Amino acid sequence: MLYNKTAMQEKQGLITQMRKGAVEYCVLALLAGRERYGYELVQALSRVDGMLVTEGTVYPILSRLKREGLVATDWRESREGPPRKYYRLTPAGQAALADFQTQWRVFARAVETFLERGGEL
Amino acid sequence: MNDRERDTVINDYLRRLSRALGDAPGEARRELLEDVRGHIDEAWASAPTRDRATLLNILARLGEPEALAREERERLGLVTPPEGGPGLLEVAAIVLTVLFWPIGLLLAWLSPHWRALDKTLATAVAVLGLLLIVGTSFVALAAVSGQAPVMVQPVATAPVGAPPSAPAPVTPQENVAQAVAARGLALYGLFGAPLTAAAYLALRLRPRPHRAALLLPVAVLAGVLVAILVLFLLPAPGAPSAHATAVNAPIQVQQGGGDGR
Repeated sequence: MLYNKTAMQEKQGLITQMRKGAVEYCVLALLAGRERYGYELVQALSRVDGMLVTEGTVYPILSRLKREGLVATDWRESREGPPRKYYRLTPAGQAALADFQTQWRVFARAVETFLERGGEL
Repeated sequence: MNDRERDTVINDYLRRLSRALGDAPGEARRELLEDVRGHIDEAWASAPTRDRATLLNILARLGEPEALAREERERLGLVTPPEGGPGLLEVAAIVLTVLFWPIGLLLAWLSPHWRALDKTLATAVAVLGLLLIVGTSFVALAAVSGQAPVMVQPVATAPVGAPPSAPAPVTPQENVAQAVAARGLALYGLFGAPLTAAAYLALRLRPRPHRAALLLPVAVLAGVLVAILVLFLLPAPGAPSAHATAVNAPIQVQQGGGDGR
């Protein structure tokens, strides 16, 4: 019926929203060392608890990163089966990752400071 | 689990995903389906056991196709209608659009189940109908003042079954044809246009399968046809006419003109 946008956003929750934003940079970070194919990225993200709620989420993220020019793709033959689509960082992706790393660390440290020692400050 | 059973389950998942993507652009749709298909194949190939439970587990870990589609649409910047489907508001909007379109379309504009473009088109059709009525009435007025007597007959939109009290003026065949066409246009404006708008809204209701996207060009085509009809069948109000004004013409207009619906 009548669409209440604010209520819906609240229901999704702050952590969900933050995770959605952060996963993009975790994908970029995974690609910083070397190129990887989609399923490989999903497995790497699933290995750490708390990052992926559903594995499928990774693919819309990859499409978007590609549209924004932060990653590029190449099809490579694979020994095990059909060709795989490999993702790699573009220079723009590297810059975005470096920028996020700096800002995130300052922000995370600040939040931690208050959560740990809020009463003493 | 044989290959055929496996493919059935996988294709069912992909079909749900494709449907839920709605009006997402073809390129993005193709890519997501391809990526998800690749994921399932990789996971299946590396699974230790290949039974139904394994496959269902792979799909469960991927997430509900509808949730995945919502994610993709969100990242594409498309608005996804809320879950639960259309309700009373949408039904009321469609029904009232037929009966009295200003209220019906107002309700439609309040609903998130139509895209703004669809609401605009439905409103445009209804307004076009109004313009047809106004346009033919204008021609009627011109006829009363003696400029275009042939257009008197069409605008006398008396209720169906009510015979004209005065005999119709004698007009040549050509003018009779014009009169019939103009009356048809007025009737379309009165009943057909709101009906078209309501039917269009009913067909464009979302969520819906994306094949319904074909309806948009059909509706545009219909609009163009109506516009062509208007341009070719309605003579200019001030067009010179060789025929003298019939004496009983103003009486006819008075009878028909007061009854708008």
